Amino acid sequence: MLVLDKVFLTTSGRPVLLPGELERLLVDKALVQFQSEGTAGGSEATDRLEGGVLALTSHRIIWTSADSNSKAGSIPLASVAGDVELKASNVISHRKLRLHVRTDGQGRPLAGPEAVPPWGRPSEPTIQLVKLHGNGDLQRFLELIQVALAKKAWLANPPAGPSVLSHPVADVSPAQSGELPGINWMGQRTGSGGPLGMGAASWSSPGTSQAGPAAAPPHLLSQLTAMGYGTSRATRALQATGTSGVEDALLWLMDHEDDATLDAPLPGVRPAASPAPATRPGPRAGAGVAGILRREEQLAAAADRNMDEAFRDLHGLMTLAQEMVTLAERFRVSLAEKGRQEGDAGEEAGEAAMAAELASLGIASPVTKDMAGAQFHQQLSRQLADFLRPRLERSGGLMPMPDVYCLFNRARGTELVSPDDLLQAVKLFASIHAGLALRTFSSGVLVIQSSSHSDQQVCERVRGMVQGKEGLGPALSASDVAQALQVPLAIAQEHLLLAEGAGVLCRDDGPEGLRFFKNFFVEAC
Amino acid sequence: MRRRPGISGLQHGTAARVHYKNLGDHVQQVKLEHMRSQLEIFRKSLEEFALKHRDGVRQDPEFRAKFHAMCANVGVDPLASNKGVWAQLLGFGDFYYELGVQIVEACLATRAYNGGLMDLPALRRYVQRRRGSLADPISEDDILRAIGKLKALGSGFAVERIGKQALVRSVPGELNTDKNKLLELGQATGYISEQETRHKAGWTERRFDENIQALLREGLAMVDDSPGGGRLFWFPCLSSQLAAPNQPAGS
Repeated sequence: MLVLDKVFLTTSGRPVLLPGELERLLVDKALVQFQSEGTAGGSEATDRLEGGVLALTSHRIIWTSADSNSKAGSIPLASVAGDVELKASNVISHRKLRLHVRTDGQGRPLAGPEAVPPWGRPSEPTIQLVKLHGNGDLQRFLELIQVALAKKAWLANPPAGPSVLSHPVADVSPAQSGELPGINWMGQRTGSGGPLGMGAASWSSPGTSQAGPAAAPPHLLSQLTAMGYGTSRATRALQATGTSGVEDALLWLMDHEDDATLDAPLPGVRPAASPAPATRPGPRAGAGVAGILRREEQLAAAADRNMDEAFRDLHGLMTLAQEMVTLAERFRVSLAEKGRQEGDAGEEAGEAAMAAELASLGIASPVTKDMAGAQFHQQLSRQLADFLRPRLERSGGLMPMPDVYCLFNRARGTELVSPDDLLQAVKLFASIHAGLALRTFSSGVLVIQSSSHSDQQVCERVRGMVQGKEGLGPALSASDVAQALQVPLAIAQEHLLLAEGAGVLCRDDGPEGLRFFKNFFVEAC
Repeated sequence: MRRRPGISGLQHGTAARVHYKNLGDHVQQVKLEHMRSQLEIFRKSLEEFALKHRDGVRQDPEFRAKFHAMCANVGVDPLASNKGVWAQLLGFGDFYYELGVQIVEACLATRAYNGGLMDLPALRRYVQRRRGSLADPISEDDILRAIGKLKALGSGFAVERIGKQALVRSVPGELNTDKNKLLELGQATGYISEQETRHKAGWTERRFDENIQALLREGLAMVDDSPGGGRLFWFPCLSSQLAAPNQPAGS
């Protein structure tokens, strides 16, 4: 019997991550099959857990159930013994991931040497087989588990991260749907980062297949030159640090920032054609002004050649894209017809997948079905809800959408979220019972409102502000309200208009601007 | 198909219908397969393009602008999502969303000064300064695209064209043609006076009054009672374009 470790869930149903823990991969419609029996989160013993979401993080494998009773359990990667394989147990069944988990006498996974009570002797550690399966790329799951097991991130302190970098380096590998960089539940970026937020997450991200020992240096070289370092400098850095990874090369480059001889082209290498700003003409290559001029000409000619080629390729690509769009139109029409008749479920799944592919191409989604939203948007929505809740308390229960966008993207650091994705995620708040909602004011301002915020309360507070000791009382403008209630100016304006609509205030629109007074007409009548 | 009477006729009819339905489904299947294979071809060619020209797209603003123009022509939106195919392979999703964040911050920081309307070149200079000298160069086209994406967040992010200038608006509210005219008239010097405006535009006193009061209320204009006795109205959002004759441009 295997008892999975307890996992704390936030109110949106996402697991609370340990400090330094990063999510790598999410697989839905997950199945966890035990050797004999197992429980998670206090449920009764069954031989399998079905229908939830399996998350692979750098420290554990977490299973969360998909229904509302939110059970969750985890297997720490430290307790996985031996190799992980992906195979089917017989000819008919699907291939599943097979792990061997060390457990102690009570069936809990054993992450380290067992604690022996003084009166007893250590019981035999048993090894149990667990099989995992889900709706996703299991091969990639396997590779990521192996990487995580090799890294043993639970032994190290939370990574300090590389020193200040001023560029985001885009993650080159195509990410699985639902892969998110780590923000632990307090919304802090795990690992430190520079002003544009290069956290350790992107270095240890699943794209490390490029930074691994088997990677060809040209790829690392192109990453370094993309950051603005000259080719000779970058090549020297890679040679000096042994082409082991971009991080080491960057640290080396920063240490040797002032060394001007690094820019001299390496013997046997043509001068680079890329327009990197850091390249300065070296002392050896080319003599005097003529040499410099010649080199500038060469660079310009090379750039022109590149551009022509680039434009030709671009044109070719766009013609293909045009064909795709016409196909999508036809597909859209056929789907609309299908919607009127009744299609069978098998085809619908295929069409839903096609619609998702088209959406990822940037072609507007052909059908407006009531889909639950892609996996990615669901997870994003939960993450956003967890992130926003404490901040909303602090800012008075309402936050305008541009502020949410800025705060969330700053916290993420890399793998930023587009405004459209944010809007999608916000619209899913209702379905995940987040306690937050999107509200549109008549002036066009979009805000996120927490359920604890009430208009009534705001009106009361505003009424308190205009109450004077005698007579008319003080005048209120939007900046006064913004200061008193600690809300942004746009929201303060909305509050004033709201209170006016409720009959608490009346406006004075004069040469000194728009001000509000106590609505004395109500008392006078 | 001959319609035959009786039960056998009905059975025949249903059998024929089922047969046609199957045929239709088969054709649909073939269409879907064809589309999938097209998608694969497109994806492969996009990957090749990305491999060769990724740096070009990231470093050269002109190429980027051309790329976006062609995408718009074709009808795809490469910036729709950071998980989309374009952003993943070409890697500029982060660039535009980061730029969006910087634009929002820039507008917020200068709102108290210019009332929510900001000159596009001034915005670009501000954002460039914040990004630092090592960052990828940005062009006005990039800023326009980023603002186009920000529209989804509400709060009135938009670009207004007034005369020959482009102004970025970051507060809700609208400029109508009359207010636009006032701003246009103020472009040359940064201020207008009632006399001059009524003379040039041929407006009545009331019309001028209403519109200038509206601009003052929104915080887009400032009153200057000059010692000569005339009243001037200055527009802070326009005055960044004006440089004193001795000042170097682009400061």
